[in-house]
Amino acid sequence: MEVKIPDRFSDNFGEPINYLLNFLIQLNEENPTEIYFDFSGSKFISPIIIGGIVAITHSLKNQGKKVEFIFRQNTIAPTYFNTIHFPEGYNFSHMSSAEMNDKLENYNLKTFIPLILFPTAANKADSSLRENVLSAINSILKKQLKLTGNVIEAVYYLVDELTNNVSDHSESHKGILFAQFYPTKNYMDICIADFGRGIKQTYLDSGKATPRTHEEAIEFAINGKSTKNQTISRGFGISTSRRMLTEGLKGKFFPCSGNAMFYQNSEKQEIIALPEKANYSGCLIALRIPTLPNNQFNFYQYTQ
Amino acid sequence: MNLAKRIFVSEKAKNFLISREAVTSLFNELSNTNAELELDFSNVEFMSRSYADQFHKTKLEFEQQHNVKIHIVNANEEVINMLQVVSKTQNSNNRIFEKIPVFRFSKPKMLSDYLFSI
Repeated sequence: MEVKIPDRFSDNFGEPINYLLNFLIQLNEENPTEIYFDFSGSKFISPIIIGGIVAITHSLKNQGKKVEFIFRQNTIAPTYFNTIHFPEGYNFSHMSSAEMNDKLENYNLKTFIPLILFPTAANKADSSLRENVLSAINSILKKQLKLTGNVIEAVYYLVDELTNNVSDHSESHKGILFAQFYPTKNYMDICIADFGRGIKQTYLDSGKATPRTHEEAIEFAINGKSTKNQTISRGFGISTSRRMLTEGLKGKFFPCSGNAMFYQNSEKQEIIALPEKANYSGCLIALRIPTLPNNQFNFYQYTQ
Repeated sequence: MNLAKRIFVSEKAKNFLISREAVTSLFNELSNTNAELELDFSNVEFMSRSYADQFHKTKLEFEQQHNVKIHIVNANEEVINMLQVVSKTQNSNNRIFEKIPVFRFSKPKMLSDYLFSI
């Protein structure tokens, strides 16, 4: 199966999501053993497409399928992919926190971060590596966005809470983080994804809730229904993040798992039950974060 | 006079305190002490909610088990506020479950139109 990636995406938030969902429908209908992503015309690739393709690629490879990327005469996309370390992600192994910060200093002057495939296991080595990686990424974001105070705290909070959810719940071997900053448009798009068991299965496996559908599972997650035993002080991640981003920062919040998606902005929130064939077994979250300084925004108003 | 022992958290961890496991590592290193402790948060730029929640719980347990007092020193406003947030949400279970409207589209074009509208 050959999948043509469009030459460019507009700045419409839903366009790459629409593209990924249509691709999933085609993929699930055809169930091919070999998939070729054709980037030969690609000039501008949305970070949501990058994160989505990396997540789906890992999921397909875990099923024993062959995935390849085609560029033909295109020299722009391979250069960009080389810079962001697509599709395997930046290799952080055996690096200390200080070495990471040194190596990543080049990204301070760019408008994107390297593609991150962070480890998810709860053991000491993986936790420490994840902490080092996310700290390094926070430092890059701070320098790129040139924000201080409440808004940069919110960016740290969103990245932290949503990557933590991947580590805590997904049972994905790795989590995916990619971000692109658009200085002239004053926003940043972030994609956080995994190739794990999805939200519904997480609840079922926990024994704490029995959602009948993916849309019910996503409603539980949106409301902060915890899968942990210490239910009272846990489960704040998604519920606080979405309010902080949409009500506080006037951004956009989109998680998708199984065949359900949720969308929230400052004016509305809704769950969309997707066609069965649009199913993705893991979870993908897309965020659009306005990056203008915002004196009205109070970070702590949204943390509880 | 029993002088408090000061531990610099940003040297033990990083300037960004993120994971629950980092709290466990920190307190594991303190486990042999019976002296009063000062945890110095100088240079700590960000404390995640997870870290703060685990820190709150572990600190209380540690103080009870070892009969020592742990003082938080040189924490910036953000760190103090995050610790306050988690201390307030340890026992409150007053979260409201919001029913969120669910929509579905039987025509692919309508789903695409919806996605282009967001």
